[in-house]
Amino acid sequence: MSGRTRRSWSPATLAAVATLVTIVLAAVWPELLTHRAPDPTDLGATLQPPNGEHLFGTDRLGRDVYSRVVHGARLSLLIGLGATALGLSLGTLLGVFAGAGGRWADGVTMRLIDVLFAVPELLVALLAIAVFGSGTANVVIAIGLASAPSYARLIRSQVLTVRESEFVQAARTVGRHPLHLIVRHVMPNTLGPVLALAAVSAGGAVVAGSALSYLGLGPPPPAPDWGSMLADGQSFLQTAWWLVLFPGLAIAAVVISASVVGRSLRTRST
Amino acid sequence: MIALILRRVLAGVAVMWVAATLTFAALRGVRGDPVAAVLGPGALVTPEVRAQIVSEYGFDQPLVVQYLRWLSRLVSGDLGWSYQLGQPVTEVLRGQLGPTAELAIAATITAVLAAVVLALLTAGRGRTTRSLASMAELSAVSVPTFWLGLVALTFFSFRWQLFPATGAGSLSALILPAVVLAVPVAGVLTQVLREGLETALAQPFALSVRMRGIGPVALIGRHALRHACISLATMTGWVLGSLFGGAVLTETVFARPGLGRVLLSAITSRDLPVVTAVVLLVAAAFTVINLLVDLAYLAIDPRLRRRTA
Repeated sequence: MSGRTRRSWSPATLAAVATLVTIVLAAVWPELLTHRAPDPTDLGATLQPPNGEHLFGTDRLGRDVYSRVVHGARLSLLIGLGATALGLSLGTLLGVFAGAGGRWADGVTMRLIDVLFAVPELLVALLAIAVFGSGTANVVIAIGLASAPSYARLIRSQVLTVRESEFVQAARTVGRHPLHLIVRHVMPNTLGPVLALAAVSAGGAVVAGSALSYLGLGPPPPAPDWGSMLADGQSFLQTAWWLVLFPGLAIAAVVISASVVGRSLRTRST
Repeated sequence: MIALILRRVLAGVAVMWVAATLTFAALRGVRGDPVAAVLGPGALVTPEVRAQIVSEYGFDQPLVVQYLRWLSRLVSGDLGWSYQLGQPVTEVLRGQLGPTAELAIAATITAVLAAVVLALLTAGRGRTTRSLASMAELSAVSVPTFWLGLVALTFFSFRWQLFPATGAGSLSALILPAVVLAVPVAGVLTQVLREGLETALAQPFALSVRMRGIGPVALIGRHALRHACISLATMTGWVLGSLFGGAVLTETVFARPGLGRVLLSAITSRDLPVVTAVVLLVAAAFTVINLLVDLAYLAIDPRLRRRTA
């Protein structure tokens, strides 16, 4: 990340970064990649297979699948990044509290995290949806909550390592306030592995988000969203394979690229 | 040894207790009207019926009393009443446990078999094989299960008509969902198993086995693989989580009956007793299986026993 790591990026990492950049571009500025709007229906051209006019074909209402995939990037990334940000913040709070708060804080927090680990993440997210209801914001909250324990666990172990290091001891000897120690010295030094985990989990959060909207718990129609596009396409599997192929490829591209980038961040940070 | 087992069991019970408490808090803390939580949102009730429900469920009691009562009902196996389906939650779950267990077990067997074969084929190979394998594993782990299921349906069920698209009960209806559910698990397990194999083969005992004149096949099959299997145990928790999360989606994609489908319809209709029960059931299964795996490894690997004694 800094000047001291002069290893060149592998082709796989470069391809992954390029993919992510394209998808972020689609999310921020979809008009750059398609001139078509995602919503207008064309009942004269429904369920057309991919052709020159419609690169990814059209759906049952004659909407252009390519344009919907491009415009769908925004919601999917928003959900993925929002959930990651929430999970990371909650996880940091819990992790720092456990790692720096002394024996009791550590014991109680870690037992709590053990319990949350005994329930699969998707189930925690579904429980949160059951309590809060469905919809885009609640999907973000649900996935964020579900991912918090794994961040907390990593951050705690990092904090425990860093707080015993010599420079932190030195700062403590100088008489710095504990909070100053945490914010100024401990947290920046836990950043590398945490970012690597966040990159991988952001991909996971995009999948989880699309899974929830596939299950019908996400953004309400007609918003272009990869998960709901898959759910829509399921009724036409027999005739219109392009309806499920392309949105799914988009999701897979995000996750695989995020994992590749996360992996290379991890090897760099250790 | 017995003290150790006892400690693990107690820890498991504690986990279940906290899980139950958290679920109780989630239900009572966030939901406004507890009567609505029993009857479902939008249910119209006369004041008399309302009063009857309130006293029956003890909503007029202090929260602590309600909590203790709920807990004691749970311990006695009473999970409440599903208002959506109009029958006890235990009845609802009993019928759905079978198909989900069947799917999960079939997927586990598929994943473990695939992982063993793939790890044996790729362990200790050259750079190209390894990076191809690692790319394949990454894709297997990353690709969304439900999408894989949809693609599998498109080709194997609709285009080539090899497998039925929906339903449960027959072996041919089980194959596609089990394979789809197994793919991400197999991806992770292959990786773990290969690393385990390579570590085992690099140890001195591998050399001494070879020096006794035992061939490489027997070395891997009879010695290294056993060592490598221990590294699989650490993955149990992840595998279970992935299987259950995947089951919700796989059951929806393939329109199979099961716990996942019940949970999903309970969530959409806000049938909270059922949601709670499924969450607790999964947490319990998780805890029990983890406990059994821990104990099994204490039995298999004497080194662990000595270290923790």
